Amino acid sequence: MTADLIGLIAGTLLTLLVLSYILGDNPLYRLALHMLVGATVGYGVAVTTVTVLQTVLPALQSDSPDRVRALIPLVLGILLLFKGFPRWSAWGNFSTALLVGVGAAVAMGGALVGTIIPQTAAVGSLNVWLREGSAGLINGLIVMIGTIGALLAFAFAVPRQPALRRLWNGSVGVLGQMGRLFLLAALGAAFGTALTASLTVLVGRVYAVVTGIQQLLTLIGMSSG
Amino acid sequence: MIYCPKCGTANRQGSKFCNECGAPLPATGLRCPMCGAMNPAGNLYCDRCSARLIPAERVPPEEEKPERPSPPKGISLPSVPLGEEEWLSELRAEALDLAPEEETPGWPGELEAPSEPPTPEVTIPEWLAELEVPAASPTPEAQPPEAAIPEWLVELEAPVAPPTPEAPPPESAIPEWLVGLEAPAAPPAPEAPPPESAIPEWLVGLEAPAAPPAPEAQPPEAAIPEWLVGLEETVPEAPPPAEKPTPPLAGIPVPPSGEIPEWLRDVEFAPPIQEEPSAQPPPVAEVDVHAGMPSASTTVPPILVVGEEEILSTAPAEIPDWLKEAPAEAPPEYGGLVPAEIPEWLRPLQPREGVAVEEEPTETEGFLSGLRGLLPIGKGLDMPATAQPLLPRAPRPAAVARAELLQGLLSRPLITPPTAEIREAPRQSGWVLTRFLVGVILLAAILLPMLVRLPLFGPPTAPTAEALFATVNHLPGNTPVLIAWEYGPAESDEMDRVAGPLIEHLLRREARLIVVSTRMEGPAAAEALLASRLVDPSERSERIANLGYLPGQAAGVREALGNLGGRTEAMTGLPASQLDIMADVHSIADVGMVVILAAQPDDLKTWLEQISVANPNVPVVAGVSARIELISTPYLAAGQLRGMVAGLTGGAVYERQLDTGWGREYEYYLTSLGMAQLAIAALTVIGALIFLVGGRKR
Repeated sequence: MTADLIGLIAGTLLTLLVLSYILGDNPLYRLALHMLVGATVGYGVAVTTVTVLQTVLPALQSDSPDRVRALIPLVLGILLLFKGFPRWSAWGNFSTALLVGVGAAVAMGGALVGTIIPQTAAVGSLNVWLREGSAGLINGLIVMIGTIGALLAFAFAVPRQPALRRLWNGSVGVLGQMGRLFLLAALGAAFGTALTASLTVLVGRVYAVVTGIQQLLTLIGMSSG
Repeated sequence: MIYCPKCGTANRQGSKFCNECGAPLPATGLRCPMCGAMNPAGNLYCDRCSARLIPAERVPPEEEKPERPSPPKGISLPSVPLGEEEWLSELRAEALDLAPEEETPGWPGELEAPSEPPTPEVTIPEWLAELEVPAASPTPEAQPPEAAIPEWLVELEAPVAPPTPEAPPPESAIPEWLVGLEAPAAPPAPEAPPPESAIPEWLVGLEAPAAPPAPEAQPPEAAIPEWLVGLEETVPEAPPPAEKPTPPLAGIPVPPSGEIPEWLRDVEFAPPIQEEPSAQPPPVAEVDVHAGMPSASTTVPPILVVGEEEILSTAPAEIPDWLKEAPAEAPPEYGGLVPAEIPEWLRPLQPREGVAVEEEPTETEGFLSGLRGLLPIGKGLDMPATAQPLLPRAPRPAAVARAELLQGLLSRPLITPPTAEIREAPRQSGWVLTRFLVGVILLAAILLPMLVRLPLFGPPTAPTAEALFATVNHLPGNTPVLIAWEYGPAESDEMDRVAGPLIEHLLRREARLIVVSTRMEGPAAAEALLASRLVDPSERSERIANLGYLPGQAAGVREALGNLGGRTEAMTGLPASQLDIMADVHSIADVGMVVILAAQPDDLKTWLEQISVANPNVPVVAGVSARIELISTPYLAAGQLRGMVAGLTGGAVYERQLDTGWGREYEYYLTSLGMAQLAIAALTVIGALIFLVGGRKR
């Protein structure tokens, strides 16, 4: 019995245990769930240890300048461990601040350069409209109206003055209603794609179970393959 | 509740401004005089310190004179909005009319308790006590306090005592014979002169003429009585004036007629104590006031006694003849003291007897309990400071409606948590059967294509996958391609069908694959797929470098993009710099293309954004799950993605383009997926119909 076969059988059993949830919460499902969580945590710890410590510790033993460069994250990491002790958690504040600050700065810069500016430029780009013709123009208008409408869909305040209120309802209110329609369409599409992905996984699992059963039958000689 | 005087809205007790219109609300309630806390109107005692808020009112008897309300000290009256209390000004004017300015307030008299005689030790002026010595009567006990004129004494002050012979006349009524005595001589200081402030004004006039004339001083002729004229020549030369104060006897007026007045007779018959040899007079009492008087046979110093206490003893001196000739009347003795009669002019000073003293009201409650004679509160001041005119108009219907709504909401029974119902629902057999039926239908829809093997759906189309195929197809050989492997075993059933054709295409193009992942299970998932697609496993080290897990999310990606050569190969543990495949790859700038295989939207965005920052010129393609296809499309439209494979459909298209031999499996998968989607749609419609027909009633 090879490791692949053992893995196939184990995967098939675990899949059946998880699919037993269709009959409600039961111990078999709970067993599979606990095994999944435990395996995930254990694997994460192992990967982190191998990836991080095996990278830092050899550098500390060397005489190269990397020794000092590796010492800094090691000290910061040790200080971060104090977060587990409420009395000494303040020692980990600097490490936490460094992580959060650097992470936020990097993410913000990336979002600005990689998403906001390019997407805004793409929607309003004349080149896109010229390249795609009237379809591109219509597409850009739809995107613009949908974006503004979706934003105005969350504007719940109205002016007190009757004249301004009528004007508000005639402009912002209409755009807001259109935005709600865009939101409905977007949420429906997102649900459809998520359902498609989930069904794809289900199909893959069903095929895996069928394949596993065929392998087991082959193994015990009940199937000709 | 406080009702707004402007709009009538009911506001919470203690509010300063109206919740509806913002108008300031009248201050209702009583402020505690002790702790300052505001209390609701009607409280008798403070809610915080239990002090009495409204002093007890004592109703004065009708015959009692109306008193002018004196400003109570130390008592904080209830706060009243200024300028709004007309009744207060009316009361004040009324009180002013009833109580004239000149009248002495009655409260001091009440506090003095006139029925009780004052103590004599500290209140009797010494010179006045001398006058009372012979009487030895309880009169001194009735002396008023030294510093304050009692009421009964004040009454006597204005009408001057009748000009009885014994009465000391006021200054204006000094007889002429005394005036003559007063002028020439500067009287030596008495032994114990009363302080100036302690002498009643009307008695000051009596004190001055009582000073004896200095020995050198010669009285005017007209002022010398006849009975003294004969003695004038025989009087020896007066000694120098004594440094010690003059005895009080020097102040006794002498009648002009030469007769001994009654009060002098009393002095004469004061019981001496010369029998006791030890009773030597103290030296301080020695005053040579009789130096100019005729010598007497006896040398007994006169001793003035008040009661049983010796208060003065003079120096031994001779009794003048005119004193010896005084008629000796045997006064009745009373306990060794000489009874005396109160002079007529002093009798009005006595406390009036028989005057009924009204019982003082005693405070029975609060922190002042037990005290008597408290100031009664004026009429009107005992009322709480509630502004009656401001009190409520009828509240508006809107306010009433809101209040009723709030009351209704608060009176509703609490909603029981639906947890029990949720837990009970799955136990229902119908619900379990429904779930089981749905599961069976889905399984049947998925397994049916495997059993029937009918192509129910036509070949899929995916333009983005075709664009990606073209991009990879134009990739030069031996190009380093960075692959961000951002999915794990949970998504591998879908993502392997997406990434498989793309990876195989890259391998066919002899690209060098550098794999990294920000997910811990990513490297393992990558290794499994790469092993299945790699035709010759021995070529792995030349074609694939799995750099493993990148901790730190966006920061880790950014760091890896700038330092690919500094990482370690996950499978072999060798530094990336020592791998042949990584010989010329140190950063993102050395990479020919980036492939992002992501099942979650955040992973795709993170890589796209960081690549745009690090090297926006490198071509980026993506193989994503169907879940994030919508999110990936804008990047494709903006040109940030050169191509994309999305979901099982995109993988099938790419597989068909590549023709790897996996097409039949993709066909099954697509058929099963389509059948499952149809089953889901059918179940949704059936469920909606059931709800519309029957379930709506529930």
